[in-house]
Amino acid sequence: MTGVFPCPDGSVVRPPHCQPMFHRVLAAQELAVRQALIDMCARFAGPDRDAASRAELVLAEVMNNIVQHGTGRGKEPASSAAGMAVTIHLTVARHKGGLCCAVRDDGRPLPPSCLLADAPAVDLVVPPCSGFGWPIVRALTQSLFYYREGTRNVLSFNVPLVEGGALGTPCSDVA
Amino acid sequence: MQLTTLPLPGGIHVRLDESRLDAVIAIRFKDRLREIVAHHGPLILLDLGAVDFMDSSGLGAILAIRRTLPDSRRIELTGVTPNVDRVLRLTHMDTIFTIHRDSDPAGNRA
Repeated sequence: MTGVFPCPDGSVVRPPHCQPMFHRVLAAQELAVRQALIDMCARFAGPDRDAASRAELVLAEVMNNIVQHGTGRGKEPASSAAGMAVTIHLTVARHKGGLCCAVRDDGRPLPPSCLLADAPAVDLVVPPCSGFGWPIVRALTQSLFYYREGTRNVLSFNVPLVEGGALGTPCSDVA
Repeated sequence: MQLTTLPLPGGIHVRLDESRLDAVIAIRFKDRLREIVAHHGPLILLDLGAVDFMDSSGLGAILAIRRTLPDSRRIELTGVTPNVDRVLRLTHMDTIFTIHRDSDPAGNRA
């Protein structure tokens, strides 16, 4: 899965044009989310920096949504409702068309309306203070896809190498 | 979470000395900014020059403060980095804030 094949002498062989994917298992907590994002960006720094920055923003919105709503805790960390313990599995893989991301968690189901609804027109006279997360996710991703697998949420999407760029090869074409 | 304030003619320059305005600090940032705007003005020049990552919780904190400002006070932004600019643009909030993009922001005139 990682594209890296260990040899008996301890060295690794990496096929040409193939980078190992980024994978992290983390608790659904703000600090753990922040660290995972910092590490993911460091991993894809260099020529893919801009795509990594967009992926960072999208993944922040997705994972903080899990922290707040997947756990049932709500927006206020200090609230008495501690929420349930939720584990997030984050995977990011570079392919020819961009950064393919998958987020899995064992929290509450994601309301499908988050993905389907068109962004409501923003009131520019009295702008809201929240509700910007999913419009940001929809604006910066391609092939956004969600399903519930038993007790888990699975969300996957592609972040193109160029903002608004054409969809390249499918996510399955990691190499 | 570190905020540095500097008096300005007609207001105050508030610099957030953090590289990330995210869900980790959004609520503390909002509470500190609320204290500051209660005692200064009418211009609150919020300097985000050190911030290279902001998510919707950070934006929401700024908007929450803006929403509770009396009419006589206003928040303007300076030092907007590309990633912060992207969030403002995607949410159309670049149209509601005055954003100082020149290299000599008002904050340096103090």
